[in-house]
Amino acid sequence: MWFLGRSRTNKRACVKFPRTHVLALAIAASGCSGAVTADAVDDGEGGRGSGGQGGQQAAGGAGGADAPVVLSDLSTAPLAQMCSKGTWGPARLWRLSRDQLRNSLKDALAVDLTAAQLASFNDGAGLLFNNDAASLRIRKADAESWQLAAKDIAAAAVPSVKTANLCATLDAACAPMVVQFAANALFRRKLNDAEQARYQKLYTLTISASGGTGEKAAQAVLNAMLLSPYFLYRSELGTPVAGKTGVARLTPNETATALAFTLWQTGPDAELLQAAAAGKLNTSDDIKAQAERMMGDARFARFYVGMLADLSRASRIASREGADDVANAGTVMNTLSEEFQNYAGGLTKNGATFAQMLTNTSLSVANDTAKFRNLGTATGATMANVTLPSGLAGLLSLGAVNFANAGTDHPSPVKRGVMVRENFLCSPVPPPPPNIKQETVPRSADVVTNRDVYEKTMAPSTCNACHRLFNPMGYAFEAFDEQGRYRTMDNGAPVKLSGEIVDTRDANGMFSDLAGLAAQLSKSSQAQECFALNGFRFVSGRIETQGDLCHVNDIHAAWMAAKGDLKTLALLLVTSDAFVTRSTSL
Amino acid sequence: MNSILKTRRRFLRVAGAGALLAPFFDQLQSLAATNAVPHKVAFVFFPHGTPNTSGYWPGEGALGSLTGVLAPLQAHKGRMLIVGGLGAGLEKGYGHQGGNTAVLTGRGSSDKDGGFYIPRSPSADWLIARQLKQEPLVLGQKVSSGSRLLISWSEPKQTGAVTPTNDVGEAFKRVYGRSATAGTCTAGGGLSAPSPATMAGDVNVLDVVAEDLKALKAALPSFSRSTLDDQLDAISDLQTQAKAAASTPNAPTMSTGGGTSEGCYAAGTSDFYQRSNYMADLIVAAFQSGTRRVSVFQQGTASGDSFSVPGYGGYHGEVHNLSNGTVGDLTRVTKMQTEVFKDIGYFVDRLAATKDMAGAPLLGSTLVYICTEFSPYGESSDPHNTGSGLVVNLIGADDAFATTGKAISVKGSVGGVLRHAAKYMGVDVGAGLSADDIGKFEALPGIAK
Repeated sequence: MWFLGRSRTNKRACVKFPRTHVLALAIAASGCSGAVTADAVDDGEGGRGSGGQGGQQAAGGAGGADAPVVLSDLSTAPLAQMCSKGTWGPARLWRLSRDQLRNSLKDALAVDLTAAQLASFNDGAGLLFNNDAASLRIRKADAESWQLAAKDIAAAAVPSVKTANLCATLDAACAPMVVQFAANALFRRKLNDAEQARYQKLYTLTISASGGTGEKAAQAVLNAMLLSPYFLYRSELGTPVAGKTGVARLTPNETATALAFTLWQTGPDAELLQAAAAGKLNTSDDIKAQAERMMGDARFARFYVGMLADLSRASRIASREGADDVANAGTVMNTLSEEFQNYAGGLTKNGATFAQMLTNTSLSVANDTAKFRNLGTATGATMANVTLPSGLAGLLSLGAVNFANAGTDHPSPVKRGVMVRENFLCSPVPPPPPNIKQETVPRSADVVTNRDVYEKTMAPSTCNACHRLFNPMGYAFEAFDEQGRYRTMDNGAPVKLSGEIVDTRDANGMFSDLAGLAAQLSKSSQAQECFALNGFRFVSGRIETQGDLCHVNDIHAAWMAAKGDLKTLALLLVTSDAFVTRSTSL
Repeated sequence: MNSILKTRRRFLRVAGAGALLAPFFDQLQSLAATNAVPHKVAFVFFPHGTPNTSGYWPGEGALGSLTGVLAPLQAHKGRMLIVGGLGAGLEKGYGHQGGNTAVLTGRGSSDKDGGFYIPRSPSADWLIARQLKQEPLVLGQKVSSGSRLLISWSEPKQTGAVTPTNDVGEAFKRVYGRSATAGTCTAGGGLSAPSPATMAGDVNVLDVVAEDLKALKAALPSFSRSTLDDQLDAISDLQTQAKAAASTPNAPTMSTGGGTSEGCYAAGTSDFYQRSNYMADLIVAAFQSGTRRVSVFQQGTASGDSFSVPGYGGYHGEVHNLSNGTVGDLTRVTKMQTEVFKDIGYFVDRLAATKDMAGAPLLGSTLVYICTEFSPYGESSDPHNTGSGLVVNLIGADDAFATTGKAISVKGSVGGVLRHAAKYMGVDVGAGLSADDIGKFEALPGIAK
């Protein structure tokens, strides 16, 4: 499942609530404003998820891994007022994510990676998305662990070489064909002469060694390619653009690779590689034609599954504090993961818009899952369309979203509210001030529900100055417990779902429940711009620069003209100049 | 469902263990380059001490027939120097755990993480290896409830000692850079060590990868040229490792006795001896490479766990009861320690029977340092109380000792022994450290050649 094996490398110790009866509270010491950098990220209960946003302007997000990262604040100004033309993302290598490694080996060589093999590499630790290029590096220990894994993977891939019928027999004469077959599968391109000679030499050395066979030679070639940076990284180095110093455009082959790993989360298929070889990926129209073809493929579902899983933080379901302590944790997480994938993966298939993504009132879900979530009574694996109870709607009602954004043993209006504010409104939330702790108000006759506890505990102005920005949105999620199960009562009292969106450009207002919150978001220009911006971040694997905001603004405008169609947004993102243009002189 | 959870936890644990993998055969001087057999040091340590009735300290003077727990080492007494009278290294105030244990294994106090002790100080292997500028393999073992053994090794470019693991398969990978071929658990079955030809194949693969890395790095813009450095570093180390293994003569035979396969261990065999011997085999295999090596081989727990060598249990409690005078079953304690020394004897025997790269016994270029706490106070005394003394048995190494075949008494601390070992390896272990880090490093008279 997509969530298994994901981990947050920047996870910090959480303040547990109410087990420890202590909350770290955010205090508006500076009016709840100010830049929030990667170092301020905190998974804790105290007012922030790990997707820290804030600050007025991106400052070098496109630069190297060491550049300070500051996210844009769309609550203060629209994209059009924040952008400044003239910059491009950096030429770079971009390591494949775990999902991409798994998908590409499965698709190209019919090899299923084990969890332990995938564990050789970390996922990215970006502020928002796990495909963050700056943090997707190969550490020394990763390389050594992968070296061991690659031997087994190469052995498992040999049957694919044999079934490709490259030669009558896998003998020395077959070296060129085996090497090129492996290069197409793993390097996603043809080799240059030096590379071809190098790998053919490895093949022939192996086959001529004592006990050597064609199979062992093929295995050695595959083994080396699996370890090679040409497999583990996507190249985005490009070639110089005439007349533009320091600017490069992705080569056709790099473009094919970028398209495949963006839209399908796997390597390019034969048609993409052929298009690249034939010079059919040089223009925006060429790319559009291929992208539209790819969007008709089932693998395109991975695009929004991946993006929305990180955006909603559902991808952190397994790493949530206390997740392991949930009864039948593995099954619960698998179940909720499948529900999420069905929903997110089905959006473009059904031609959904941004608004529909947030406000759909039905789910296609297995009966067992519906029963677990108190959304149905039937049992079994049969898929059924479930109409959500009144007051619930769309993506934010999914079990994985609510499970992942919960406290150790209770729902967390803070995490849920912060998730909405940061990731769906692109509005900054500063981290809790250090060394500020507030005793949790204990339950009593007047403090009955989880919401009561939060409201009473965070009532002091020092707390509420910041928590008012997100807690009231988080209360809309009180319809779900910490495992994502629907509920109407909490501790014997009815749950209260009403709340308010404040301090945004155009989403402000009261709502009565989660459906109301979703409806306000769906109509908000700020939320729509935020979604387009997050699409850009997901596609580029980095945080934006000022120059990027101009591209995002153009993309947003075109997307709105298409009435917020999700498939159109993906198409606009990959046909933008920003998708294929790089700076080589940062 | 719960099993899924357990599997996930195990997965995460394995993932953590995998992250610790590091090359073993390092970029040290090769035989060809120096025309000398690289030195090795093995620290063999068992905590909780031994009473004076065990025979561990035979008394000053020339060694006669070794009796008591030392009996398994009889064949090697000509190479032995037994040093008594040392301080236990309790300077850091952690009690007996903070003395020898901390110095030798990096473990101290009682902090635990997931049942494992958290290393709190540099360990002997690390201190030496750091000066060698290598990334050392630190094979060690710990016996805990159910006779499980824990293996520890240092992490790449480590900045401190690391948590041990009980995954012996990982230790094998650490030595060979590849998985063992699992054998059977029957007599004659066992691990299949990779042949030099196999390792030569690995060298060919790694050479190609290194070429790719260099070519791609050269194509990167200057601001991102460091992207591949860690991978280049890793591949370089792995090349060195594989080349060393490929050129190692006398590839070790892992199968002994009733069969010692990785599969058997993974299945959780309770055969203490198989596991212990397997660990010794791995260290011996590692020591055959053309590199200087240093390892720690720990034969017991620092505190808390039972030492249930088949037939006996509760080692830790039994040792403590000696100080209470309530049980005072020296016979049982001594028998358990006798079992420990059988394994130590096996290890030394293997070093003596295995040829080094020059065709001489490996023991001749290996300094084995056996250490525990020691009570000079008689049957009712706790051997690891704060007044304990220290005895070390130094074995092997043709050119390491001023004298052999005798027991001497010397005033000093464990740091002095460590200094001796470091000198044998050609480094100054105290460089960059304060004496407070691991005790005092004063020279011990009468030991070094």
